[in-house]
Amino acid sequence: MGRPDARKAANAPADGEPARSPPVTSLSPAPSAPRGNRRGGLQTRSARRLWAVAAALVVAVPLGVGVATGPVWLVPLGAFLLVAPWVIRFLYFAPRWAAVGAVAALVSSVVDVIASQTPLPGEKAVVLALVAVILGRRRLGHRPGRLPECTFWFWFLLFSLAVSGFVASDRGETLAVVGTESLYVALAVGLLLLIDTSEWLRVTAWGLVLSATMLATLAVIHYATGATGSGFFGLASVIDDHGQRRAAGPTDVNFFAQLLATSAVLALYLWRSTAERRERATALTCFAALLSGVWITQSRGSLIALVVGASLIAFFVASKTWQRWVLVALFAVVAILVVPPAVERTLTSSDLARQSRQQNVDTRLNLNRMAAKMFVDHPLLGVGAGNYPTLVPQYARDLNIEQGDLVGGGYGGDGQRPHSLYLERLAETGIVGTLALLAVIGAALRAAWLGRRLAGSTGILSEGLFVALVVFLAASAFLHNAYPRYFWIMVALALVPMHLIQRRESASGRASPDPMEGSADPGGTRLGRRDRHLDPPGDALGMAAHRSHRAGAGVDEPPGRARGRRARAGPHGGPRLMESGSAALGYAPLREPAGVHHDHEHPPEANRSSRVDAQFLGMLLFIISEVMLFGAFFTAYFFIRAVAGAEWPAPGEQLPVAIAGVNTAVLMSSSFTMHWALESAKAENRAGMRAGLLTTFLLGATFLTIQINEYVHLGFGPATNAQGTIFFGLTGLHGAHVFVGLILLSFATIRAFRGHFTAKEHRGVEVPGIYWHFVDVMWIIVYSTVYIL
Amino acid sequence: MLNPLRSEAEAFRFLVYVAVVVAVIVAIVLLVRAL
Repeated sequence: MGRPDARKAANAPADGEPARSPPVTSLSPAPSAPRGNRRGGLQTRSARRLWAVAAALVVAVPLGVGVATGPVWLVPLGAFLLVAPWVIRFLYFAPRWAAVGAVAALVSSVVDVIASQTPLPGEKAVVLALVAVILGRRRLGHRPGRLPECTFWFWFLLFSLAVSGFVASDRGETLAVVGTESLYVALAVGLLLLIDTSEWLRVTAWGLVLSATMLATLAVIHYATGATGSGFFGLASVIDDHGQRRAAGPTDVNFFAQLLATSAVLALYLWRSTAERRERATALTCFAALLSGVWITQSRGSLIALVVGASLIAFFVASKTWQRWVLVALFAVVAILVVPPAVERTLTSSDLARQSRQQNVDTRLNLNRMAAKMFVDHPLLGVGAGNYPTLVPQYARDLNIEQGDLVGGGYGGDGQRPHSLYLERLAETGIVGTLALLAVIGAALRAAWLGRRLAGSTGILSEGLFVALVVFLAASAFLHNAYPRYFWIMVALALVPMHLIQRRESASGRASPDPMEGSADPGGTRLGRRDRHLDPPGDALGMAAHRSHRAGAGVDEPPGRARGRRARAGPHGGPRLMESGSAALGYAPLREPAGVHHDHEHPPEANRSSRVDAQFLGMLLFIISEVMLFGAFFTAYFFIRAVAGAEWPAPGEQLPVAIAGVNTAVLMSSSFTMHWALESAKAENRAGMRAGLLTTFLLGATFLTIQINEYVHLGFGPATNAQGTIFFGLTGLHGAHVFVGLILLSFATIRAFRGHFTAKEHRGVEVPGIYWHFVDVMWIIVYSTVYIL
Repeated sequence: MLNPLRSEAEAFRFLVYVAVVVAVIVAIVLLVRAL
């Protein structure tokens, strides 16, 4: 196919590293869990302690459950007791199998079977076990590699879901959604921390494909026996859809098809990326089984997604541009002319079936119409995560949709969700939540796309992950988010190539001209990391900035281009905007600093005023604008109190002075901890700085939470009266400032934990500190005027 | 002269001064109202 040379290198570790080598991190320059330590680790004190805790858990948990559920559980618990120490011991020596096992257990739905047959928790237990393995490894001195910076979007996604709860009519539903998604974010992060080599990515992909193949095989067997209903402990099922039998797997027809289609793509790429005959044969068998599985589900959405995937694969396989365009045109024609009638013919064998399918389509359209209306009514934050079903009756009445036209025979019936992941997000979390979702998807797609440039089988597998994710997302256009676990597993796997790239970058540092051939260079890593405090603050999140500032480390560009950029970049590793700006405009510097030599390798020094420091001027202008902004709100406040003489607060209303007083104390203490953080930074006390910053952040978050809670229980809103408007305006404006401060603090905290700050260079802490104190000053004024006086 | 924009330490000192001054003003106002 595309890369014959890549296939040869398939089984050898493609990136020239041993399969289980610990990741190189800048925080611990020396590999922290060397080979010798893996066996010897048991002798250390922390290892013995871990064993003691594990043994205690192994005895305590089953005994507790056994006592609670009666003697019938003693048999499986005894088996568990026998096996558990070996499992734990195995995971101690080969912790990455925990990641593979988690993927296999979740994809194959075996955990759900266990959870349904026993009182044991299912997926929660899997994620907790994964977290325990990671924490255990860390406790034993193995520092995990850095997460890709784009995992920031995970938190943004959770945040957007949580924020949508403020406008939700049923907050309990939102809370449940946030809880579930948090679990999966933990799963994704856990997978990213454990799968840190290309070999393990391969093993995990195999885990996913084999699990899905097992389900597909069971589904085919169950289907072929002519059975209807559930079989194999619920791992396979066949439903009767108006006279037509369709395989539904352990979940539901369409979601099952989505999983199988995605896994089929991965199986195909596992076949492509290896030269080993047995592995290729297995991959092809899996591919065939998975495709058969998709076929017997007869899910239209997944068939369309597979067509999209096939087009993409052909696009990648075609080596010349014209070939690609011909293929795109061909697939477009096929998609438009052939697929819909063929699908229609195949899937509707009788008049009754055709009728029912038409009704099905109408139902979905109605559900999607309601989602669209919800989004139009609440464009920013939506109606609240998980709140769509609650609002179905209301919107159905508004849109004159009859109960019979909905799934489940009436308002609030089962399965009444929008039939599209994207529409669901738009309706429930508005633009903010949808942007967060798209950011996560974009980051995952980008990571897999960049991974295509990796050498050997990893590159091919990355391409497979890209196509598989596209297939998954295409199928999601027709499905809601009922099983987010597949989504998050796919996102995590697609992000692994970025993980590999970043690790290689930090290993090769700036010394290696070719990022693919980078060798471990702890010294270079330290240098590369330590001087990153010179980069703009956005570098903690923006990968693009991060990559361009580390000139020469760009993986997605040929060495020639990287060299060109390195030549353009200044001695600090990045082009300076002001300098290039003044050079482009033709302004010569008014005076040149002494010692400047003209080697024409970088733009001339910036033209600056000698009277006012630029940073000071910027901060001054910012604070002046802020004071004017608050001034406008205070003017409104004084107008209604002093000029109009209105009662404050409005008659019959009460402000929670005591709670706000406690909140004031919380914010004041956060200023103290901020000051402590900076003093620690100056004294080269890193632990103090980190603790100070983290405490400041947590106190600030506490302040915001208490304030939001206070809003909820006030009993009046911004629209109630003029006093309410002013109250919410002033405190809300301040709250927004606290929020911005929290974002700045989170940057500073993350950077502090990455070791960016030193006793001399800590501007990244100083500036947020000044801002934070300003926010605190404003609160003292707001609190005293609004609440006390 | 104290310049709260120059460094975090000065901003912190400024905050403390503001807190003290505001506390005094509030105390005076409340006292006057009570009388």
